[in-house]
Amino acid sequence: MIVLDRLTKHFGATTAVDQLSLTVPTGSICALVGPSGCGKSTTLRLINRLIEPDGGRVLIDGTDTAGLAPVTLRRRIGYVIQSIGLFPHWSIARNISTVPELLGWPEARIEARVDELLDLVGLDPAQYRERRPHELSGGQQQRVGVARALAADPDLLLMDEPFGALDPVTRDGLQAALIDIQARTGKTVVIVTHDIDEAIRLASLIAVLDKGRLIQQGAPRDLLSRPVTPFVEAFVGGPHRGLRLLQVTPVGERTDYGNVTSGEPIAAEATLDVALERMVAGSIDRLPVRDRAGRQGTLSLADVVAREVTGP
Amino acid sequence: MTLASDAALAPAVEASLARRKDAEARANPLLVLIVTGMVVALGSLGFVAVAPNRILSGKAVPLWSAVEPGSALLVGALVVALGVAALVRSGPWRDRMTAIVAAALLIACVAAAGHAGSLVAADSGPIARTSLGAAFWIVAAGSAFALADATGRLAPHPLAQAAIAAAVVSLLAALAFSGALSDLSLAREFANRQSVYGAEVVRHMALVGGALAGALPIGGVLGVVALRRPGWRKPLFGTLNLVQTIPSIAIFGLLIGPLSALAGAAPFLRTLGIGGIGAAPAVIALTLYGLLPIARGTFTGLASVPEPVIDAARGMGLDERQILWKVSIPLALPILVAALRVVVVQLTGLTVVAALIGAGGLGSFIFQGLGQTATDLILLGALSAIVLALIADLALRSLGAVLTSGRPS
Ligand SMILES: Nc1ncnc2c1ncn2[C@@H]1O[C@H](COP(=O)(O)OP(=O)(O)OP(=O)(O)O)[C@@H](O)[C@H]1O
Ligand SMILES: [Mg+2]
Repeated sequence: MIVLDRLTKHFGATTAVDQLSLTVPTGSICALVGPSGCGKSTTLRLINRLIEPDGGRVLIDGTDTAGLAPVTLRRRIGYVIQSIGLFPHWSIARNISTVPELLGWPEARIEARVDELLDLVGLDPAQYRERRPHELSGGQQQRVGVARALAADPDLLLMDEPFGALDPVTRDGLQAALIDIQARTGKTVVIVTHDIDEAIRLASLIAVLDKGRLIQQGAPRDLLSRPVTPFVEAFVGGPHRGLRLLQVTPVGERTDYGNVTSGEPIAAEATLDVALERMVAGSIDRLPVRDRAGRQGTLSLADVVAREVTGP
Repeated sequence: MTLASDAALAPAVEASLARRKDAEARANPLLVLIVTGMVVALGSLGFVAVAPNRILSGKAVPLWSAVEPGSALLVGALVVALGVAALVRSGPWRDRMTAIVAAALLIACVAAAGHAGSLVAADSGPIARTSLGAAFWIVAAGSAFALADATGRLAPHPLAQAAIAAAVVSLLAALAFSGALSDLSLAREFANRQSVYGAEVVRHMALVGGALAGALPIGGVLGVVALRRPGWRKPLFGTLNLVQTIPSIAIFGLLIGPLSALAGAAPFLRTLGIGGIGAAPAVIALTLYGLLPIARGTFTGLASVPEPVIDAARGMGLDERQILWKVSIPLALPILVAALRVVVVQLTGLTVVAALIGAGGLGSFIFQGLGQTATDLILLGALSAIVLALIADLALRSLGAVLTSGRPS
């Protein structure tokens, strides 16, 4: 668990982070969102002590990080830097093995880990292992940056716009990989993103920042259905708030289980946007539903659009 | 100006550009100038100067009367060939031809001078001296320049250039070892001093090495300090700049007082060879001169490392030492090696002056020569120092190229 307690950081006259308190439970993904310059990167860097706070504390699993050696702390925390920052004089393999080498892993284990991670981020090890960073595209470099952060299998991962330079397909793949890794290993992830859809897809907790202050935090659905200020409403929803709500609402919630329809059923755990997409694609207004327990029901178009209570 | 007249002008501008490009493609103006200079020099200036003995100044003798016609014709033919090379169409072929002809001309010119020396020795006995004349220097320097220019374009890689330079130098050395040059006054001076020559060269390099041993760590640390403490930059580089502006003789002189006082107060220092004159003040003064380029090179080099890379290194958990040695220094290496090159070349030159305060080295030949008005002894010292500096320069450039191979340019 990471606890940010009234964290404050000034740079001269600007207050980059202002009395920020936030709790990220162990094994969850927290997305920091907000306009450019609102203090997202600064917050991440306060967590791994690349920046020292002017006020407040950071607790990791109950321990105040101010009492830990910064170098040891950072080796335990995976960090994807916003500007990628690969080491230009090292091969891709050596870049990825930076932290395992610092931790003194045996060579064979490092080699195997490098290949595994290159596979994970979709780069063929045979082809990319020995290349230098300048021989990779921006998106490929960004993926190496993600692999480097994951290398020593840290419990805590700080990611600063890790998928910004990727095409939608690669980004989808890496987001899925991250969700999968996180589900398997129970990592705690703090991810900074400009992409609210990415935040909604990945995070169980979204924190909206503005001018260094925390404006609202909560599950994606809370933020979408009950934004506390017009700023949050505009930021998380904008013109697509209704559509995004569909992305975070499970089909099961709107299903009429007293009513059975024939056809290929949709899972009750799927979200409404998927259901709507199937209705549109099939020109139908009813879908059969089946939940994990095998219970059957029906989702109608009226149920999809009707019952949500929105607004503060 | 209106659009219409712009459009009207465009063809004219283009035509003139094309004409200029065409002319460039046809002739190498620099080479034309060099060859013209060679022709004028060979026609009007002495190729060697012949003197009845070592001290008297010589009489200029032009190439055609200094050597047998065959030698003179060979040099002349090669100058003409270089002139032809200057006029052919630009491209690798011209550069190859220029390089080969220039190298041949350089060697032929040196051989002709040696030949002239032998003829004089046979004619007027062993006391007569044959020095190198203005025409020799112009042809030798011109062909060396043409060679460097052409190889620079043909093989820009420092290793290739070093190899070419080594090949030409070893041909010249072979010529010298064969005895073909032994009757030149320069070679006689060398022969007279042969017993101490090697020792003075070693001493010269040792003085430079001693200064580097002081200047590299101190200058390096100062460079790191300048990087980490922006407030110190101005006073630091200001002071080091000031040191550079003090004439070397003045620094050598200024050190004599304190060092002799020190040696007087603590006599055991004298047993270590530390005193007001000799190697100690020379090394100290040379160290002071080396500080600025090294500190500035270190600072510039380290400051050139991209901020995100340092940031990532720190974020991964490298400590400050590891960041410096594993990331910053390797990435700054091209600039660091370049700074080292500048310092070594500069110190090799400055060390010549150190002979004035009894530190020895190649400068001692120069000052002895000045004292005896023996021009060729001065030349021996000066040429040796130049060759030493050039070798150091090429070696460090090659080292830089090897260390940074496979990097993005
Ligand atoms: N090292 C620094 N020195 C001075 N000011 C800084 C420094 N780092 C950040 N700031 C300022 O602090 C504020 C927050 O910066 P931060 O990098 O945290 O923003 P961000 O939310 O990550 O923005 P972006 O989305 O553009 O990356 C900005 O006003 C920025 O100019
Ligand atoms: Mg940022």
